Amino acid sequence: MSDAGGEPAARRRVTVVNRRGIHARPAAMLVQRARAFPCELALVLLEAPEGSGAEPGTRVDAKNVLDVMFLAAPAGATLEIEARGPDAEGAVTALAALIATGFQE
Amino acid sequence: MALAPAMVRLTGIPVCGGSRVGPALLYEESPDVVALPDVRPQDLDAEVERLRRALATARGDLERLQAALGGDAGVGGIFRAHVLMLEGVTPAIESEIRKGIAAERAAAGVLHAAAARLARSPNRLMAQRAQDLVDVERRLLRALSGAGATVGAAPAAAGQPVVVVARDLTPSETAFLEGRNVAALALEQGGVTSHSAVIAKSLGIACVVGVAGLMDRVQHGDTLWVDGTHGTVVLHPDEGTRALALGQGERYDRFERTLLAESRLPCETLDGHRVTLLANIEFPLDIEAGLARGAEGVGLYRTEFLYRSGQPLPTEEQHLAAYRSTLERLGGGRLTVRTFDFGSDKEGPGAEAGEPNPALGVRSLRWCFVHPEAFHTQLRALLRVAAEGDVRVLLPMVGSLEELRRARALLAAAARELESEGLPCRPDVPVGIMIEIPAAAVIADLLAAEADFLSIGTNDLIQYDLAVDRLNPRLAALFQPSHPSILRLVRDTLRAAAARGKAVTLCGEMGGHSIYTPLLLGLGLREFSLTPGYIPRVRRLLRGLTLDRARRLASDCLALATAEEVEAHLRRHVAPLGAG
Repeated sequence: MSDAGGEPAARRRVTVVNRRGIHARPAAMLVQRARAFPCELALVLLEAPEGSGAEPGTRVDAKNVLDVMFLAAPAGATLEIEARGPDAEGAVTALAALIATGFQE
Repeated sequence: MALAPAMVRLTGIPVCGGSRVGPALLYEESPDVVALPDVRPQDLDAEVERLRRALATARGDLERLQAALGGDAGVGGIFRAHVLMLEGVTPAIESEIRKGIAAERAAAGVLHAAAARLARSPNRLMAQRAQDLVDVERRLLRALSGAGATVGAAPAAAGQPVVVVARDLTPSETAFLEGRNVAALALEQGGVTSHSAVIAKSLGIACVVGVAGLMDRVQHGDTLWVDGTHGTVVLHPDEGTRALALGQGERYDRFERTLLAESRLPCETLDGHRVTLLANIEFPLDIEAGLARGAEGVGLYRTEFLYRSGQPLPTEEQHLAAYRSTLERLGGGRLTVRTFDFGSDKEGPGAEAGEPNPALGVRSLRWCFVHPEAFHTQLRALLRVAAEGDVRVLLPMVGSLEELRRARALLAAAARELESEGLPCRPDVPVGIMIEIPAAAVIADLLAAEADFLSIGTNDLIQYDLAVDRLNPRLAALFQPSHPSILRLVRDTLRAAAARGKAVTLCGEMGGHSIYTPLLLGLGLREFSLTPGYIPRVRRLLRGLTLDRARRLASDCLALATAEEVEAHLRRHVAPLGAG
């Protein structure tokens, strides 16, 4: 897991809207999008619906497909996207848009 | 001179025909990595470098696989995901190596832990991906071992064709055998319905699975005879046995060529009853295979391949382009397109997360009903292409008349929409239903009154009727096409449709097993839709039968009480087909 080194340069809260949550295909899409940016990107699971099994507080590297798959953020979960480094704002906006539009599912 | 090693005969389950002799290429399990010594501090950089080279090799293999399966949408997508997974575990493996752990042990440790973690995921789709990590681990370990036995290293083109010997192969490993210099495949594990067996069948490699004791006895380079027709593997065949094996192989090949040469002959029984042979199409390349074997059209065009894992669902234009090009290649033959059949064992955008029992879950037509926009797009494309040729729409997993009516209403709405847009379409495109839920077979009379045609899908029909998971190798013996209940359901479906003047196709695996061909004809089937490879055998069999004889055989079978009795009766009365 990436370490929270200092305050993020940009952060954004977003709700997972696609019905099956961030499973393998959205995870791959998200990672590919994240890698287009030079900054460090992390996802933090803030809240998850009761009984979904996902653990709030989990922080993962948004550029690692396995990390994002482990997170298994379900529909209705609230995520925080954190970016540290160049183009932090652009990266956060791009990932938030992808998640908020339900990965075009 | 050393004594020749003793000949050993091993028995397994026959998967596909052919008799082949060649040197064994052992496809080893992951090497035992636990005992590897630690890396000395001064060698750490070299060890990390060794890992990077192996990663590059593994990645290259994956990219070649992806390219080789380029046309095969969903299949190629698996390997794209594997590349990402490899990249995902790289930092963790490197940091393990920096602690002095050998690369193999580090890789196995990290990937094992990741697979275990994924397998425990509350998200069912994710848990299923654990198997992918096992595949990635094996590939990386083989690349690290450097030496020999990766399937990718199987000699291409030159030299004597080899017999690949393994405990089991992952689907990607089996697929990579295509176009390589592989004579045969012998596996210690697996059943006829395992992925490896299915792929070997479609590649036409002689194959025997479930050979107990195989891996303990065979060494690299040992001469092996694999008899895919009878399910035997002979280690160190002696002179006489080799001659026998080669003779059998030649007869088999000659027979295959004769069968293929009959592809232009009409498919009719000795007493002049016509039977229609159609092809089941999984990937676009199957169309040529079907046409080459004289298929008159397509009885089952599976559309799941249009969905590329990791990509959005196909657009209307993408649907239309795929259907149109297939229709053109068929040159006037019929094209029966099955609407999306996602779910259960066919992973797609519709595999619903967290369903405890996906085979009984939101799959196929049920999925289409909860994804109306995806279904609407497909229906629009089908209505449009139907204006250009003999296109028919086939709905999977129909269990009630309401479902058929609901789908028809959606089709009618899509047609009105197209007409209002001024786009050419065929609103009265024939609509058929799959008979694969036992309930549908039981009410086949009611369904046949409203459907334009029926198509019996025996794979799922058997699975649901006998409550036997068709992919569970431990239940393989219970998956019985000859079960009296199945024979009755097929008979009743054929009768109900005939009474209403509706055509019935059978598109399951059962239709391609030559032992059942006369029985199905006798039960009243006149349209077989088959995996292209099966067409020549079924044609040959049908051309040697009279309808009278087939009817007697069917009525005898219907009078028997168990699957075992039916099988025994068929074996006694259906002349074995072919050589060897």
